[in-house]
Amino acid sequence: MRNLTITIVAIFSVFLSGCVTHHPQTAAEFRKAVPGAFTAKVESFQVNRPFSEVAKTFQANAPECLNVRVETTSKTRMSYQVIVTKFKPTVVVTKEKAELHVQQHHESGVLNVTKEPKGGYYLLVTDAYPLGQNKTQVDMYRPSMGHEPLIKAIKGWASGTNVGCPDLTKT
Amino acid sequence: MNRYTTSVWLFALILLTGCFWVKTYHNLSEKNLHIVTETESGSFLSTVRAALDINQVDGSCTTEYLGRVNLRSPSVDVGILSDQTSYLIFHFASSSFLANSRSTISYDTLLTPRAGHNYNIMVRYIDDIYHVEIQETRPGTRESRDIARQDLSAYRAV
Repeated sequence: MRNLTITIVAIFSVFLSGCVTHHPQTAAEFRKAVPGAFTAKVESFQVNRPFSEVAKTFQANAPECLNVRVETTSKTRMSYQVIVTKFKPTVVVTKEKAELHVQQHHESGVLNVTKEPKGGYYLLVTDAYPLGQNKTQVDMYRPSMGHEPLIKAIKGWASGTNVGCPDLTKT
Repeated sequence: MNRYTTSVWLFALILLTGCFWVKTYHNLSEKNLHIVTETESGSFLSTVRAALDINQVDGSCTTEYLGRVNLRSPSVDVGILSDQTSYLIFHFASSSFLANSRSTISYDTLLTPRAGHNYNIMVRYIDDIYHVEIQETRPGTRESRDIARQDLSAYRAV
C-alpha cells in the first residue's frame, strides 16, 4: 500500500513538474507554446486603423507605460507579502509586422524555479500585420486569466480608442 | 510619570510621526497648474486615491522634494515656480478591502512652466487605466499646446 502511494505521488509530481520545467526563452518560443498552454491563449482581431499608426502607438506607449517597476503589498492575519516586479517592453517594427513583447521579472517576493530569459519571463506577445490601407490584423498571445488592465490597454492602443497606461499592479 | 517614561513616550511619538508624515507642499500664491482629477476604481470593494509629489530640479539635475498635494478634489489649483524645472510625480494608490492589499503606480514627468502661461493637467485613473495629459495655455489668447512627457533620466543624459 505504501509503495502504491509513493508511486502515485511520484507520478503526480512528475506530471506537475512537467508543466513548469521549461518556460519559453524567446518571443518565438512563447508564440509556439501559448496555443497548448493551460493559462494562456491566442486572441485575434482586426482594427480599422492603418498599420503604421498601430506601430507608432506601440512605439510611443510601450516604453512610456510598460517600462516600470511595481510593488504590491498584501497582508492577512498570518502573512505579509511584498512583491517587486520589473516589466520590460520590446517593440520591433518592420514593413510587414509590428511586435510588442512584454516580459516580467520578479525582483523580490517570488521564487523562480525555472530558467528565466534575459529581461524576465514572457507575459504577452502582440503581433500586428497590415491588412490593406486602413485595417490591421492583431494577434495577441496572452494570459487567459488575469492581467486584464494590460490586455485592455494594448487593445486600446491598437484600436486607437485609448492611449492610457495599464495599472500593472493589478494582475 | 517619571522622566524616563516621558522620554520613551516622546521618542515613540517622534518615530510614529516620522513614519506616517508626508510633507505637504507649500503652495505658491500664484497658481499656474490647474489639475482636474477623475478616479474610478471600477469596483465598490476598492478605492483609488491620486496625489502629486512636487520636486524642484536644479542645474545639476539634483531633485529636492518640496511636498505632496492630495488630489482628492475634482479640481485643484497649484502654484509652482515659473522658468524653473520641476519634477512632478503623480501617484495612484489603490486599496482593496476584501483582498486586504494595496499598491501604488506612478507617472512622472519634468515640467518647466513658462512665466505668463497656465498648465491644464488632466489626471485620470479609470478601471485600472491611467493617463496624465498636460496642456499649456496663455491667458487671454487661444494659444495652447500639448506638453510631452519628459523623463528625468533623459534630462540628466543631456
